[in-house]
Amino acid sequence: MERREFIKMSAMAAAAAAVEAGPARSQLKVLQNAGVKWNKAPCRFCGTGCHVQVGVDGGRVVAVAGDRDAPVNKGLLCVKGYHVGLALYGKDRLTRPLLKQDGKQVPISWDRALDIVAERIAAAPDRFGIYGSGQWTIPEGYANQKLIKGGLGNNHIDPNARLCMASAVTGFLSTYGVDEPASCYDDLDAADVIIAWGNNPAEMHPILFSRFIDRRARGERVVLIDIGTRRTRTTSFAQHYLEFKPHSDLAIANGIAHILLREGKYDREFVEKHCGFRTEGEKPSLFGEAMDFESYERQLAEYTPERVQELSGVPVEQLRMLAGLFADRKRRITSLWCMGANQHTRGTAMNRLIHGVHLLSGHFGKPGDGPQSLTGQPSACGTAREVGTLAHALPGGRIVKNAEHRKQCEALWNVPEGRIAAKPGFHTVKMWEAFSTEGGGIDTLWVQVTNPAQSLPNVRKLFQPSRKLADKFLIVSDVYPTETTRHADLVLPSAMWVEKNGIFGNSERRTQQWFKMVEPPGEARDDCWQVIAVAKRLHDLGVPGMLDRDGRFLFHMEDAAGKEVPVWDWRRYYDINVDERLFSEYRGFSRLKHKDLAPYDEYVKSRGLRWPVVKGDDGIWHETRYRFVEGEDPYVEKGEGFSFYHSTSKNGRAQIWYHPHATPPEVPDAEYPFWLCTGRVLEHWHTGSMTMRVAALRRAMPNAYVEMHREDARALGLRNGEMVRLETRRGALDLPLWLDGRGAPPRGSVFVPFFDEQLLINELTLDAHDPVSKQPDYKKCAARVRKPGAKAT
Amino acid sequence: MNLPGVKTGPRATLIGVALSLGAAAVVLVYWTRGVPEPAGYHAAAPRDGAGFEVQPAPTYGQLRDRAYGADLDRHATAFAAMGHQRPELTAEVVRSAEALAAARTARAEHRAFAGAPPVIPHAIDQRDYPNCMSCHADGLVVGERVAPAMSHAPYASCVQCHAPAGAPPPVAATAPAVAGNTFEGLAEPSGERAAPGAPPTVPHSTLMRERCNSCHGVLGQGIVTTHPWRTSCLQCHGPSAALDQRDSFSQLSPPPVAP
Repeated sequence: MERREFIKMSAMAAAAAAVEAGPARSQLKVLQNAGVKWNKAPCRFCGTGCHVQVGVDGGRVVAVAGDRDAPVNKGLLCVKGYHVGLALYGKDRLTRPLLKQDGKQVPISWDRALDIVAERIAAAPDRFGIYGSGQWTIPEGYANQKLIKGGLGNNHIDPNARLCMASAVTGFLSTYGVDEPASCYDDLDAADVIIAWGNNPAEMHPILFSRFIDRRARGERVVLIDIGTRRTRTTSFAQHYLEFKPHSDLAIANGIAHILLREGKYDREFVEKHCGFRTEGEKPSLFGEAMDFESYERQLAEYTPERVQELSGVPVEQLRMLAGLFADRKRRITSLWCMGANQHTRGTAMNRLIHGVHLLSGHFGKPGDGPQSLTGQPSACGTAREVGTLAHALPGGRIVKNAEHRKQCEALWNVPEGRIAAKPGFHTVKMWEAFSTEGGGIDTLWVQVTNPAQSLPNVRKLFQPSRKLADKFLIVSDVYPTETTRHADLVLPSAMWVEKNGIFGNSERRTQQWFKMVEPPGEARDDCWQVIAVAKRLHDLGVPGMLDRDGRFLFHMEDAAGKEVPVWDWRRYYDINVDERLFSEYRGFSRLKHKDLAPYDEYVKSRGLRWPVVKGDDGIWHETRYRFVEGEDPYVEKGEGFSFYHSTSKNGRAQIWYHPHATPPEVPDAEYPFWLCTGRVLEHWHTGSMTMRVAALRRAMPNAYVEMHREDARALGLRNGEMVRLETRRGALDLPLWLDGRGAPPRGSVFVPFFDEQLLINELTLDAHDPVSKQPDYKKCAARVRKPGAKAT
Repeated sequence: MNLPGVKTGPRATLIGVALSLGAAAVVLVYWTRGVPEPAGYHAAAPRDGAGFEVQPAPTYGQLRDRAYGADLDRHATAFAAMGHQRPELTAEVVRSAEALAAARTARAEHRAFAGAPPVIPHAIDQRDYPNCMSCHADGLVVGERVAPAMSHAPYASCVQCHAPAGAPPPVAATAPAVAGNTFEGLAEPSGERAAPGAPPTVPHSTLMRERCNSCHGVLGQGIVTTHPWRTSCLQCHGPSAALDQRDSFSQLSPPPVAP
């Protein structure tokens, strides 16, 4: 229907005029909604994968609304999501390539910048590495993956996701034989009981939190159990709070299994039909050693409730209550976990044990009943895990070490056999060690979409030394100045979010597409273009590997008429939809592990689809809610009930693991008597490079702080709000003290958020990591607190 | 006449306010009304007899006894001032362009753009279950200030969308200046009328703003309706399918008939 011309009442017009003269004028555009064009995009921030409606007027984002048609968030957003549009407009956006000359970063042209990158790589292709993130779009990650593994034949690519969900990956792989959650967010609408394992979804995954907590307002009964090491906003909504000693969560999971076995309340039928048992062999690995049920039972024998209480501090009654819930097959139980279980030197083990408790008790595969691992980045699943931008991985769940997998990738990429190196590259910690060591295996490192100088653990060891070594060259593509760009030799300005086309994959296997809506500022350009443009220069320099089997450029793309489009030329980059081309190519990799993706256009039409997406006889592309479940997963045969068709034991069974409770690598002692835990806050996303530039978010949480128990503060003579010095064996930091604040740690424990680039807590954290996933533990190390200037006692 | 979802009888809620400053307890008549008002949050029926699990808001007495730190003064003052009456539904409404302009300015100060969740203009408890509902369930007048009723259904975790406008004091002490940002947000648009005297259309999305009397009811400042007793707002004021993200419906409707 055509919009008619309306007559405005004079009072309204006068009011509008008055507003124009008012103070709001500087921030708000007075315009009618009619001028605003709305389009869908997934939110830029976390792994929840909310869809937003982006309002654009005059070539700029002017508003954001929750997307009503989005199944993930159903029209609601969190405070970060509502302000995501503002993240584009910080005054200090990077708009020109910058080269460090005589200690100063000076603007240079894109041509010069690309020449420098290409020359550095060409000089030593095997000593070049790429460090990216779970914020890479799928096509960006795919282009990087293809350049380095399919082009340069070097596997030194790893994402910051290694710091975030590597233990979740190894947990899934060793339990089900294939990565990513079998269940989905629909569980949150159906669960009777939600268990948060070392997790604070009220702040970190607010939309998922409200998705179940708001059911209470509709009269439903939802029991929330918070198993944590400090009280948080989540705790205040929980019926039960189980406070455990850091690192003893393994004992709690074992304690539940112990009770289920001893009381005969485990799901015998499910276990006998669908599960096997594993324990860690001599060397930690994905597969471990098979064991029988009796050995499993024997191993768990020592985890009596009394013993677990002793190890964990969780009272026997609470352990029995928890086990009692799992013993009740009629209740639907959803477990949620994120960094608490993942950033753990026993992270793989803890992930396995959570899956194990669900499998053992048969709380699996029904709506509301199952384990759901959460991720922190918008495409940690879609890009890091599925595209496999990890040092040991290849696209579509393949691994570098497997000759058959390499061959498949070489065929799909149409590159000569033997192109892909058989040896895995450096994982994150190793990569930065190599870069921070003279003569180490990496000389040139290209960082994209992440801020390692702030987010790596123990940055004084892993990041800072490289900046003093003459043979090291750091290239950083980013949108704002960060701790990392400030130390870079070359900075490349990037387009972000709706300034480019993109595809993300969220925590529930949902692949989400969006289109470019506004132009990037200045000379900022798409990361994907940067990769292709560098590849073209490598090609022109004659670097081997930039041609496919037919002698065509690695990123050869044609228009509808079959004519090659020079997409490496920025002016021509948007002549075709490069995202669509790369995605269509990447789709070919998705079938091996039954992670089937639909054609690009299906994602354009939807608010994301959860893989496997399979075309039905009705001609419609159907997504999958529950994997391995008959009637839900198209790859489970009729009559099977459940089938773990990627089982590591090749017999359709999932693995229930046993792991003993173990001591963490560093524990508080007389010298450093406190546990130090780090984490996030609601208002800021990761290192704050985007959210700290949004006034509403920065005002609410302007800088980091240290939380401590009031009694501990009293004993140390410290007052609320005063500056205190926090020290570990690796560094010291002065922070304001916040008592009874956002979180409340128990005695003997302190907490510091990591978003603040002025107060780098990761100068203090430990780089000890999980032996299987290589993921570091940011949640536990020993610290002491005192007044600045006072002598340590 | 009984309308579904509407309470018609007179209602009186007595809230004992025991002040910590040694003042005598004040019994506050929360409101007494003979005129129907939308029942809002009280209307949701328990499902399957499961009973409500909405955690009840703490009583004012409980609030007083809690260690609020920096928040304590605010509570003490707020509760002392709550003897003020809500305006009667039938009270005469005087509207002016100036008041409207002032209201728009005030709104803009609390929002990044039209449709953004407003910030919280006062200190809050940073951790515990938000007791926002104590004041914002139905709205109340506190001295010169109005605590508006929530404009939307009761989501439990209020602070996930609404951030305080200022930092918590221990953190604020060392806070650096806010970084510059050139974002220009969409302003609240004006309503449109087909003709003088015709009811204006709803110029904004009704998503998260389905409870019109939150802003336009008797506590509405500058944008109050002249007829707050009418409760079925959308029967006269047409919302926009596009703003309410109902565009897809238009594909289902028959093609427009040529004039």
